[in-house]
Amino acid sequence: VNSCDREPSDEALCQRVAGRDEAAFDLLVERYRERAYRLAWSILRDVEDARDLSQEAFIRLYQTAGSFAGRARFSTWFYRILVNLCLDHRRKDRWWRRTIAREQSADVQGGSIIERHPAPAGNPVAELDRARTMTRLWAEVDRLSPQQRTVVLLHVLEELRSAEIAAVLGCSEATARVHLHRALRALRKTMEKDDRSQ
Amino acid sequence: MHPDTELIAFLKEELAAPDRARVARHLEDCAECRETAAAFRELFAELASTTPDPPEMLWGHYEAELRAKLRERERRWGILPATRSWRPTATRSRRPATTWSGRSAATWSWSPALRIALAASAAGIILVFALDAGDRARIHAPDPIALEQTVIGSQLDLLQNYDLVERLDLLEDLDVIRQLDRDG
Repeated sequence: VNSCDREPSDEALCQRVAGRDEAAFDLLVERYRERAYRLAWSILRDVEDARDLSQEAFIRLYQTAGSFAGRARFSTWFYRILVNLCLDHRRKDRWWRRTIAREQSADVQGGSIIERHPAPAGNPVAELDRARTMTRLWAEVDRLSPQQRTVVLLHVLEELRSAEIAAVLGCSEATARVHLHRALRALRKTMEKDDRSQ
Repeated sequence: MHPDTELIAFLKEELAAPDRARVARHLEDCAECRETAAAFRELFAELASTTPDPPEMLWGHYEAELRAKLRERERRWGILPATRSWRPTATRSRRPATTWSGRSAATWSWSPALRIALAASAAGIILVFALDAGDRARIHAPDPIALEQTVIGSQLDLLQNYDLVERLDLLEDLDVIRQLDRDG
């Protein structure tokens, strides 16, 4: 229990979940449901899959809470469960086919980043250019390898340190940095190519 | 020599003071790395400020669905051997320390041979289900899959000890590997 606000820590709640404390489980779900759904969606780009797999991660959490050692942060342990589920699902589910189909129909469905981030009031032309650039940037993120993409998302969404990202992915810290370095190099190349073509 | 992957650690402020100073000195002298660092900083900022939001979720429905799935799974755990039944009856107050992968030297009393046999049995069950269910075996796979994944998950630390396995996906970029070996 944190001394300042008396709110139980994630780690304390997880211990209680290991003892089948459902109230503790509910509290952990409430704390992590949005982050879990967002991270799963960012990796999979599919609402149904993101909902199913984030729920599955909570079920695994309930099932295996007793195996949480408490040496790492709870969030790192939980993200490892979630990310493994998402990456396994991508490998098994011919994920790329649906991604290509979605990209082809993005204009029709209005699901691009431009719609999700409407330009604020200001210079409309400049804002539209920026929105297009950002669309290209995230489209390129979608094309990264699963590991590179996950490292970028864990860095951007969760602001995890390299050691934590390595723990989530089950790789060394050096490998996590290599993934991020290669991802940034690829993104930079794409963005520079876009700049030259404009 | 350019810092390359060390540049990431520098930008994420994860380097120890001496290494940080060394990279900073390199950036002062190397226009190419300075340009790369600036580009990476810009990318970090742009990615952070434009992260796409997922479609809205009805959280009440989400939690009700999760609860229903959990109840259904619990009902099946009552029939099939569940992971939690492997654990000893230690109470929270005197639970011994466990490892990252969930194994505990004090409480995990399976012999290596028994663990291998258990893994082989689980793999056999998976094979039967895979042949039977084919592509239908996805997220809603039967519990033996979860059981098998838990068994494999408990062995992940073993795999991580093999540097070659860990770096297989990097083989396409020999420069990076050489750099890692130099750093290491």
